[in-house]
Amino acid sequence: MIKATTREKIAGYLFILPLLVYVGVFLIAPAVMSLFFSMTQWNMRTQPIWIGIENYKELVFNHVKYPYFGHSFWITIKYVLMAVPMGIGSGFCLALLINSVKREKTESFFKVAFYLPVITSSVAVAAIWKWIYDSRYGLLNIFLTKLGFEGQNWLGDARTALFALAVLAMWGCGVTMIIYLAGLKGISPQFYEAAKIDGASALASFWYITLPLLRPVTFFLIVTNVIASFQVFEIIYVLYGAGGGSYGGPNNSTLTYIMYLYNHAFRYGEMGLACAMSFILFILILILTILQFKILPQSYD
Amino acid sequence: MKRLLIFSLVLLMLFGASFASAAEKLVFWAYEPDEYIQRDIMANIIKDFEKTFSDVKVEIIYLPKGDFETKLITAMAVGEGPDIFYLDQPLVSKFAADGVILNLSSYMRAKDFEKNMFLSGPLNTCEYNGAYYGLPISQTAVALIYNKDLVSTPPKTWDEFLKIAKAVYKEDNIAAFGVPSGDGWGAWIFPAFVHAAGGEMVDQTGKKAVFNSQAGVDALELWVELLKYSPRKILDSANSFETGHVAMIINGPWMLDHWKNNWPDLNFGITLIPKKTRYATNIGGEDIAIASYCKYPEEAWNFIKFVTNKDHAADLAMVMGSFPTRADTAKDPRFTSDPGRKMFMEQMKYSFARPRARYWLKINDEIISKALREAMAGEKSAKEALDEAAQRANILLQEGSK
Repeated sequence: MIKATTREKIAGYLFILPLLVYVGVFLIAPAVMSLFFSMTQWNMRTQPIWIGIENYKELVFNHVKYPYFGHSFWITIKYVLMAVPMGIGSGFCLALLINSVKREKTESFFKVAFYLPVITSSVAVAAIWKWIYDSRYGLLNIFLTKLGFEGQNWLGDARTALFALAVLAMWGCGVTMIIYLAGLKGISPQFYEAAKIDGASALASFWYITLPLLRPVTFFLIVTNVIASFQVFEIIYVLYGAGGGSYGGPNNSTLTYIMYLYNHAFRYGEMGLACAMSFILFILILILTILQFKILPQSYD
Repeated sequence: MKRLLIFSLVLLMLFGASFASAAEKLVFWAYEPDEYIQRDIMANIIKDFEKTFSDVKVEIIYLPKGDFETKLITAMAVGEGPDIFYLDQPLVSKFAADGVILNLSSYMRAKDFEKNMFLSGPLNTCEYNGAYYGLPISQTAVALIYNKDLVSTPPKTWDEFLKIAKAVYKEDNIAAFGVPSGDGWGAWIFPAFVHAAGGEMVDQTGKKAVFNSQAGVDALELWVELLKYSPRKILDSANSFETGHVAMIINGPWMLDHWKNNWPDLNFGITLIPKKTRYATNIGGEDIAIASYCKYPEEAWNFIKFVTNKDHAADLAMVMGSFPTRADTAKDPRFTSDPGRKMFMEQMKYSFARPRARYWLKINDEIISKALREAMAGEKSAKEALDEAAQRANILLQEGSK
């Protein structure tokens, strides 16, 4: 009998072995190594030199050498505050719309259509949005001028660039949508029927049934979206980085934390310092996530 | 199960062995060329080399220019780097200081090596502590490019520059000049204007920033003034120069083929960057270097000597969309018969190298760019912005020279 459970245990571990190896090799090991490198001066070409917590001290206190450390933090927080509500909101609305579709074929068409941006290469996405946001010929500006508003230099103006990026990120809300959709499908129709019998309006059943029952899903999405938004990099790098030569957008208004980290790691040859930056971010996200677990409602009761 | 494992291991080892016993192979990393024809030229150079040195194989790997340095140092950090690679000029001294590229001085003393044939400007970028760590393969410079349909006679002086800018400007339709933004690229262009006003970026010792001199202030004030006739809204629009909405821009020879192929109707001319007191431009370019871990340094040296010799230097410059670095290839008709390329060659005579300070990139990206931005946004006067920048740059310059 005991033998059987041991065998089952081994089988269980064998099943998760590939993932364990993956997590160990590609996530945990690099994290531990970067903690080590964050205590060194290292440009990736020579042997790292141990300097203790010097990198952390410099980052926080040396405003001549690292003038944009605090700035990049602020930019990132602004971005998170814009991108997370917009992403979750639009994903939720899309899920509601798709859930209300009765024909199965139509439903899967819209599911695919709205999920497509997620699997599109961000370089292609950037190219498309560059055109949409173009200051003279852009779709958006032409639309605005037709409505009588003045067109904006969306990506070139410090006041609008970050917001434009957050909207762009909203385009990839397909993952949020799919997860919400799964949540919506998981709500038993009995609840709605019961509410209907009791004479509840559609709005009331949405407010008292749908929203509370989706709480665990919303919680999960907020936590993961906040983490992902804190690490925003790719699209900014494509739009303003290597090719654009501006490394931070107009007036450094899109110099997010990870962009700043990247500049130090690969442009200024300060990999040790970049590792320190990544660790600071790690700690911050950790604290933020714990706070979210404490504050946000996670279940319905 | 076990047998399968052993079998696959043996297979793996066999594969490994067969690779090791092949001809001596050199891995060569280069920038991804913009045009297909440039790939063909490169393929021919390598074919020629393998014909001359039949026991050596060269495997070329193209990487996008923007990611080249990132990929290179990452690969080197894990011991998977190439044997031979392009290296942006300012990186050579850094790589040499770190001991990751070969000192080539002893090879270069050989009698058959024509060291004198290399132009001294580019060759000096390969020097570190009195020794050579690479060979120059290309040089390039930026010049003023203007739309002939909008500007009939290009400006020679700053006064003419402003006069033409005012004349050609049309609100909402035509911007006079592609005034660089206050970012890394803008900060890279800025020195050309400081030099054109007779100034320098840093003093002789390299430890003191002097771009806040009158020349620097004049240069920045020129940009501020030009910006009045060059709305960002037009400049930031895609292909604004190509579609005739910007009259004049600063750009490099790498655009020539692009325009020829993609904008055949674009009627553009090239001229020297207008001067206040003297003509000036920024020099840029690449060197070729050998990694210190290269297993076949002798063969690698033969290769870089081959691609920079009289017969191939011009070809290689063509691959890179820039100009050769040898005196004896300067008359190559591919560079002299094309009026555009000829003008860039002319502009290169007035080139100034960027400072070789350790933190220069950072000063460029984070300090100078900020001053440009503040002055152009009208937040500070040019003088105030540059003074403040120079003060901060000095701290980094001194720390970098320790």
